[in-house]
Amino acid sequence: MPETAALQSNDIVVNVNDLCVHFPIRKGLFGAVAGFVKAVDGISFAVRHGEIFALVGESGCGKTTTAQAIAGLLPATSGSIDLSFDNMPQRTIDWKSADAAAAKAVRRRMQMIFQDPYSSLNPRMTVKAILEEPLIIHHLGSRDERDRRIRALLDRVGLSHEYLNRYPHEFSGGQRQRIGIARALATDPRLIIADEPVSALDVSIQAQIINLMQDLRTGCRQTQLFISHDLAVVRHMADRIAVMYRGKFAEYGSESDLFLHPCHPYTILLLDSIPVPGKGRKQRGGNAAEEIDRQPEVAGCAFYPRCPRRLDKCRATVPELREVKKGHGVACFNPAGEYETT
Amino acid sequence: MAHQLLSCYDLHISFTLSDGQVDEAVRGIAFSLDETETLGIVGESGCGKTMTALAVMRLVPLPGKITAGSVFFKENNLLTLSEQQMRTIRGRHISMIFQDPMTSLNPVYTCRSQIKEAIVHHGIARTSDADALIESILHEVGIPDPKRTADSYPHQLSGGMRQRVMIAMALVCNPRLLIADEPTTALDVTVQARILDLLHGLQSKKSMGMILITHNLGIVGDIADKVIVMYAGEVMEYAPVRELFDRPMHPYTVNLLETIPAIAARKERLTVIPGEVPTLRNIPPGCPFHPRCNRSMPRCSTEHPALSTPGTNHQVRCLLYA
Repeated sequence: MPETAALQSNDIVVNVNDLCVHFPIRKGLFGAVAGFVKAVDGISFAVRHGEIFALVGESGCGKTTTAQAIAGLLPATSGSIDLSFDNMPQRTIDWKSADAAAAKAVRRRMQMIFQDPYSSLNPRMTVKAILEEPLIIHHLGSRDERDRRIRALLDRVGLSHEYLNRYPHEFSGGQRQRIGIARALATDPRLIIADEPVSALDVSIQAQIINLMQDLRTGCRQTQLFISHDLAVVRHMADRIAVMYRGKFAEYGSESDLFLHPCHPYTILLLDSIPVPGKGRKQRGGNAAEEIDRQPEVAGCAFYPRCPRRLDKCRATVPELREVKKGHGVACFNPAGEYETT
Repeated sequence: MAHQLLSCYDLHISFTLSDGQVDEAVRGIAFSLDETETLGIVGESGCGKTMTALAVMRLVPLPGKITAGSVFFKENNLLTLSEQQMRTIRGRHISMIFQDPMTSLNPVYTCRSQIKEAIVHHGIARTSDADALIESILHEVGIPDPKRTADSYPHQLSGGMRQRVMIAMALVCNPRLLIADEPTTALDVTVQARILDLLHGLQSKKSMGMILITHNLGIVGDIADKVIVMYAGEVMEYAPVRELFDRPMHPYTVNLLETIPAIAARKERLTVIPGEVPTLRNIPPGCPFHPRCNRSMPRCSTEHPALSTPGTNHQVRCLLYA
């Protein structure tokens, strides 16, 4: 996003510049590369210190791939990822060439929370072992100090000390997610990447975890990259939001920009699609071409086949992301709302 | 006046486990459904909503058993029919669609042969006419190219398209009752909206009854006429949909509505229901919700509240209204 240049660089925790993650499609006996799936296709954004930045979009839009590329779990095809924690000078981390010590130093300050609390905890480790492992890996504290730290972590996420010697299967989904959060907090990270942390939880448990994550932010000025498909949760949590569609940003902006003045037809479609309790039936517009599989590759805007506001030029030309207002960008030739160009 | 299509009285479902313990997954569910009505059943995981639906289909998995109650479909008590008789009803008069269209379609058969199976089994059409029928039902559920889709295998279709094929399969015999168990949970929001529109449209077009099971109160508000709120195997509240959202009575319903982040406005902090959803093994005595309830009274822990009828059509299981 262009705005980032104007900001002081020490305010930025993550700066992603023109990130691409492409997966080769291999065909035939010798695995000749027949093409690429462009899971993430040239996105740029910056996350400021202490904010919650959300990536939203539907399945396959590239939000998780983006997070994994930042965390170094997937190699980026091109583009750069700059990270800056504490007073460390901002530096570019290239996960492919970074030496082990540098990568480890970065990982200590950046931790992930995963979607599925059932598969992201090792069933053969006790809660104590799960929470202690990151401390051991990063050589943090003596045995006593680690023990105190683990107990403090349990307090932070609202779990009783009695649970230390229990195994993950003894816990409910909400409790497991608390363990996952405690594990992420163990090394005192500056950046938390939370990939759909509440999607697998029951409604009454979701609110508990959302509140906990907000407390962590206010309590320790933590920066969070929050990934979700649930716009209501995102509205509640995030300061700034980017809506992804087929590997690109369709729109980004502050919480009020996006929810009060959405411009991109895709953002509007997403917002209209959410059933609201007690509101009765909504009249929905939109284009019927919506979920057709194998949508034809178009040379222009990826949303063209589904777009209710498409123009002729959208078919052939990819709209650039441009700011309609400071901090509010949209990639559309024919945005809706007060920024209408036609 | 609309005719009653389905009525369920005092349904109990138990699971006898290998250690001899008996877990009661559903305890005394009762509801009725008119011919063109949609009943929404909402609740969190493990509350018994899916078991209730499976009981109507007589498909409760072993070691589960329907231990008491009756389910009347028109004049027949489904629970007293033979398995043979039940097979003429399933898929013909009562159909079901499931949450995950990926695992509920058979990956080794084309969509056409899977839909044809239902047609042939129930003798709806001759084999020679089946293809035309399949393509017309696929067209009806909004599939743009019915011929090609019919000859596709499930893995070749997107999630939304697969769910449309499931709906086509369920509706091809023109059932009077459709049971939809979390039909859109596995789908993206924009696709979910389309599928809900489709279900709603088909229901009024075919004037059938529908039971919609979901954990999402928004979806219930979208298409149900009346709603059952379940918790730990029991009905907590049963009301027409507008009534439920305008005047929720049970503290669980009230809290559940407050606990959802709203898309319409940003809240400072979410109201929280403390504690965890109880498992079948540790359902609290008295009112099952009392340990998590913000209005619980001392007698809630000992006295089991009965379902009351404070207003017409609006029943609630809570001592506050007893």
